[in-house]
Amino acid sequence: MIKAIGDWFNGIPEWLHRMFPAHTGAVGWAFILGSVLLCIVLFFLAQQLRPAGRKAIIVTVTFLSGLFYVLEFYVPAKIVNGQEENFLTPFLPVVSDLAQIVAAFALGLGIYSLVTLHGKKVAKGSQGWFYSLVFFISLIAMTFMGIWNWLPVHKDIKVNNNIHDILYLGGLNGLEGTMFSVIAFYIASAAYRAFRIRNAEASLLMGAAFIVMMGQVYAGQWLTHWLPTEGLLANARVETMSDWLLTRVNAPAVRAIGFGLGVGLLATALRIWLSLERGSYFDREV
Amino acid sequence: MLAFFGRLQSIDRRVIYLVMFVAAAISLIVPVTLPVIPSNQALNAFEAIEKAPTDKYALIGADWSNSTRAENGAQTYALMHHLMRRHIKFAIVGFDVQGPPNVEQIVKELAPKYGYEYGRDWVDWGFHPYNAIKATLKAMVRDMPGSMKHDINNTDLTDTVKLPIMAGLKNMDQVGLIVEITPADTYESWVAFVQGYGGGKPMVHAPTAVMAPEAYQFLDSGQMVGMLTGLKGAIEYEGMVKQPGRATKQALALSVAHVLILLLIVLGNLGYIAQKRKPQTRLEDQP
Repeated sequence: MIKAIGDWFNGIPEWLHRMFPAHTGAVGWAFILGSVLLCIVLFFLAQQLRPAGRKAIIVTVTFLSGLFYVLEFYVPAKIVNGQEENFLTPFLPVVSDLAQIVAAFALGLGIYSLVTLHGKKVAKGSQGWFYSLVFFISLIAMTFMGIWNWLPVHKDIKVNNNIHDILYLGGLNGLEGTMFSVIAFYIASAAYRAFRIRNAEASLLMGAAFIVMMGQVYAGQWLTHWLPTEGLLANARVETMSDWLLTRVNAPAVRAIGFGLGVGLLATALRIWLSLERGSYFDREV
Repeated sequence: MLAFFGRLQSIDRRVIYLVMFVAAAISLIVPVTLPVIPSNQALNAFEAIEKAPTDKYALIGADWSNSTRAENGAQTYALMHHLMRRHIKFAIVGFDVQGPPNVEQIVKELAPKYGYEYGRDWVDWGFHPYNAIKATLKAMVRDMPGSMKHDINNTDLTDTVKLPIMAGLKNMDQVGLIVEITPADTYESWVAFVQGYGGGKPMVHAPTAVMAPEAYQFLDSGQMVGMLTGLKGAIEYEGMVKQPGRATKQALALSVAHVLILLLIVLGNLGYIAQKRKPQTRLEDQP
């Protein structure tokens, strides 16, 4: 009896794949559009529910999602086709698909939020409206060229590829790189202002930072390159001292912080899973 | 004299920016190649790829965006040179939307040199949402075609005619190496859900320099076998694979920028000490 139930259960993922095979072309697009419409309808239906009703759904889905992974991890496994699995393991790809679909909704939410914010600025002509307009132009241009270039009929057209490359490699790549490289200037200025030998702790921190920074570049390593690479004196080489600080001082400290974070995360995860968490996004409207 | 040193602790930030800009710009233009002393972490990474079995596959975590191209891009070039030189077949997967196209661009650039062909020697599984990284990796470990579904060209991963590489790549049993290139914390999910499979797979990590200190603990535990620390790691690796490229050209700029920051710290402290020694004007002496 138990074996029959187990076999039936294990057959569900295969049944799901049989019932909903992957489609391409027009049928695939029809399924995508149908899914989007269904999600919109479900979204508006959920909006019609009272807060208590919505909360009940959220609590149930959260608990079942967490329960799946807890049971899949703890239920004893047997070897099937050379791999360990229990009755829940075949569902992992299915649940992973669901998680990816839910996660992808964050993209829509992010775009909605940005469009609302910048749309208001452009409509009202408030301060910085021009930058909001740049946002719309960039969003539309990148989205359009991204999808246009991705379509199989346009994939190998050189003009499309060139426009995409100008936007992506010539535009976004340079802009992001520039933004990140500006940090070097801020770090130089901040390090100059922050590292002062005001007390013993600050002096210790500065000394450690000094050695680690020197150990990261050849200019620093060159200072002690004349020392032997083996033996007692090798310990005085800048790169050896830097490595010691990173592996013997930094790593245990990070590990200790990690343990603390881990325990905190476990407690938070339990509270979220069992819907005990309170505050914004949980029991209060934001 | 003390007054002069005292002023050293309040240099205008615009002067600092200008000096840094000029120093970095000149260092990037001057064609000077500095010697390289590889770190233990980079040597171990090299050793891991050198020892990786060629009859197994490598998984490349492409989790970096254009903002960290200077570090992660250079690391990717150096690592790909080594992997492709050894003709290890690999699959790319990313949880940053720009990651897979960035790595794909580098692979396509190097592919002709090493005779790599898409679908036969390498495959790009594309971007998957970061919010679902744990669920995705957990599913991927035991069923790669089932969880990744299709490649970047929308080809079904079960289509072994178009993607012959997928005929032999089904789950982690066929993987002999993990390479995770990221400026973020995605490596933690790789360690937690992928690396430990089957008693542990060798994992090479390539973070940005600022993220490296957090990852040293995984080197100690043996969950990572090697690490390329930011641009410095890329410089070291280019030296080890004897493919001096972009990173090597930036070695001088990196050194100069570091020395400049250290010099500024020294100047700031000289000013601080000078100001402390300067006789303070007593309140009762003030007019």
